[in-house]
Amino acid sequence: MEKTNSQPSIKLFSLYWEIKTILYLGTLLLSSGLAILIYKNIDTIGHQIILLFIAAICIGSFSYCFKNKLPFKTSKVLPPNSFFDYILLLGCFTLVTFIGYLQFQYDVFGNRYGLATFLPMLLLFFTAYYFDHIGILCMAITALAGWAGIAVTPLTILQKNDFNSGSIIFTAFVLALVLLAAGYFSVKRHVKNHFEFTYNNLGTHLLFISTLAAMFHFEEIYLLFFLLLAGVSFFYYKIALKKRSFYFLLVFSLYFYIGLSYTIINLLFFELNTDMSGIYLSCIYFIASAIGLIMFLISMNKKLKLL
Amino acid sequence: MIAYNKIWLDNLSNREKSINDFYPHIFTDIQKENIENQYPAGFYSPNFFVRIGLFILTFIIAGFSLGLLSLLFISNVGYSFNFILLFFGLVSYGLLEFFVQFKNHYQSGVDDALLWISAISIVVSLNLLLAITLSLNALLICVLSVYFSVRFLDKIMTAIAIAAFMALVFLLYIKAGSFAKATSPFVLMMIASLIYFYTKNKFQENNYKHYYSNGIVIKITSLLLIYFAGNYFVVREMSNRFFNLASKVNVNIPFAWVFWIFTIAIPILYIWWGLKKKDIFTLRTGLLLIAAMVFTVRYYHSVLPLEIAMLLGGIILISISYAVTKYLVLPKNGFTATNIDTRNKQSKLNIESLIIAETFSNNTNAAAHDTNFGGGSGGGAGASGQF
Repeated sequence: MEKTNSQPSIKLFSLYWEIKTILYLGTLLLSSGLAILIYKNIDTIGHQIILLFIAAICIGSFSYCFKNKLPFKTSKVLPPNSFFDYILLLGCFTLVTFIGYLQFQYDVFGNRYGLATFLPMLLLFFTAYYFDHIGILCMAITALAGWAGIAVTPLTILQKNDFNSGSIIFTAFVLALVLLAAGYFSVKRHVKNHFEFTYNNLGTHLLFISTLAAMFHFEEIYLLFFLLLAGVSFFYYKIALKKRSFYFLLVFSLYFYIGLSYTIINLLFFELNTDMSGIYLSCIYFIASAIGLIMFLISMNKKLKLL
Repeated sequence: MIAYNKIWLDNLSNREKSINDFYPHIFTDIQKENIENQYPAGFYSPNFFVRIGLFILTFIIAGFSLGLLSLLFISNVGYSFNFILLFFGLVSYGLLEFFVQFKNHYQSGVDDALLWISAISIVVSLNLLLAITLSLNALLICVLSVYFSVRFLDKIMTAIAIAAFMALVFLLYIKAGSFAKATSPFVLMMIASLIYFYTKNKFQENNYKHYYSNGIVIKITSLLLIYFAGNYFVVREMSNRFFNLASKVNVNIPFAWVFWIFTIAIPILYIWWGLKKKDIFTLRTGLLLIAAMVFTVRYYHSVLPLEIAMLLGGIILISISYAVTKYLVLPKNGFTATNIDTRNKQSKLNIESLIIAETFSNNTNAAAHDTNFGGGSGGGAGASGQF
């Protein structure tokens, strides 16, 4: 960085993102190819060779990373180059695959299935902190959630979770609190401050989604959960102001809006039993409330910009 | 023609220029404020996330307004939905002009949403009202999107305009007979190249400077269209669809070898040209098209089993990036491997890490759940669909 910064007169052409994307695709192809290879050859003689191959990649990647890494600090440590990041990712992926393979083929952990997911998760968390890698932190959090039985990544959070079960909703809610606490303590204890956003981001969405799911699932007492949602939203209103965060402003506004609309529609159609007039009223509600929310966002935008 | 205040647009680009000049050095809020005072712009352009919120909410308002209008008029007066939709599209356009002219909205989310709502409503309602042919539709979409690009500088509209224009040319040209059908890929490639060369430096000139980013979109779109007009897969599929030429599997399309050369050579040519001219857009388009090339080749010639191909491809890609990183440890020939512009907007949201978790965790989860071990590799295979 310093090199480029000290000579702004020479306009350099940066291939940073191109190299990074090629590396990402290469790592993705290599690891997915390996996974399919194992899957197809699981019952053949070749599987031990494949196991050796995976172990070799894993050891190679990690030794590269141990050799080239900068010393551990509790603050942010930049990787020596972007190559490092993806080699570490490859190492982690092969490590997790290796452990999964051992469990499948040799029953190393026996019937303690929890352990077979718990151990990779611990290793991922350790790697994320030791080498300072937010991508692996995300993988670790996903593994933690998987161990608890839920999916947290953006594309799977709504698809793969069955929010019709009370226990899943409760687990998601608790996990969200755990993640938010982790984010809070990252900053408070100054251990990898920059991990805070990742914890908070995943935790926030999980918190709102589980609260909304609770509203939809426990129909009798949905107003209670609506109050909880309102409380959580108010908390995030304060957070958005405190952190000057437009992102959290948008997130809490939209989730609260979904909850509010659900409550209003429920009132119109199930409590008041309106027919045709209910449809008219709900259209008017959506138009008016969306205009209201737009005005709220515009005034918040002004407020946050002035802070 | 531009709906926005041109002086303010100029000031915005001057602001950006000054910020870029300042950039690598320390950049305080006071400096930023000075620049903003020096180049005043009275646009209402909220923060990016607020823009997203306003965009979604405008769509909600529009949707329910349309619902309410339809309820009122269909049940009480008996108008058909098609008329209401057309009327609605025109009203949305009026509102768009109002917000831009009198409320000074510029990329606020409200104007973005209204632009799309009016365009989509008008096209859909005209299709419902009149039986419009394919080529007339292409013409309609082309005219509308050119209008919206010129007046509201919208970039996606610009891409649509170019694509619709090419579709129109294609549909009209193939009416000329069998010779036209056989030569249509070459004609399309030629026209796309003409667009590319004609507009390449056009938008740096003073008269067109407000369209600078639209010019980039035209450039990328025409580069993509040159490739896809000559891509073997596209030519073959189009021949099947439009002329039933190669409907039998083993009958080949005419000039097949020419299209194979295009399929393989053009991406490499783009990458070479992009590196030579230090043109990031041509370079990235070329890299993107490598994926299309690999897909096309593998679609017809699966030389290796998928997993082996993925494995080898991964090793090759990692080796290339390793070699390039090694080569550029110190900047060479004006190239560097380090990130010059660290102001990346996405970096705040850590999108890269989310993508990693999304694409790599499918496998880790599956590997960890021993009951469906390996099943998760389907996720990886899904991702490989791009290749």
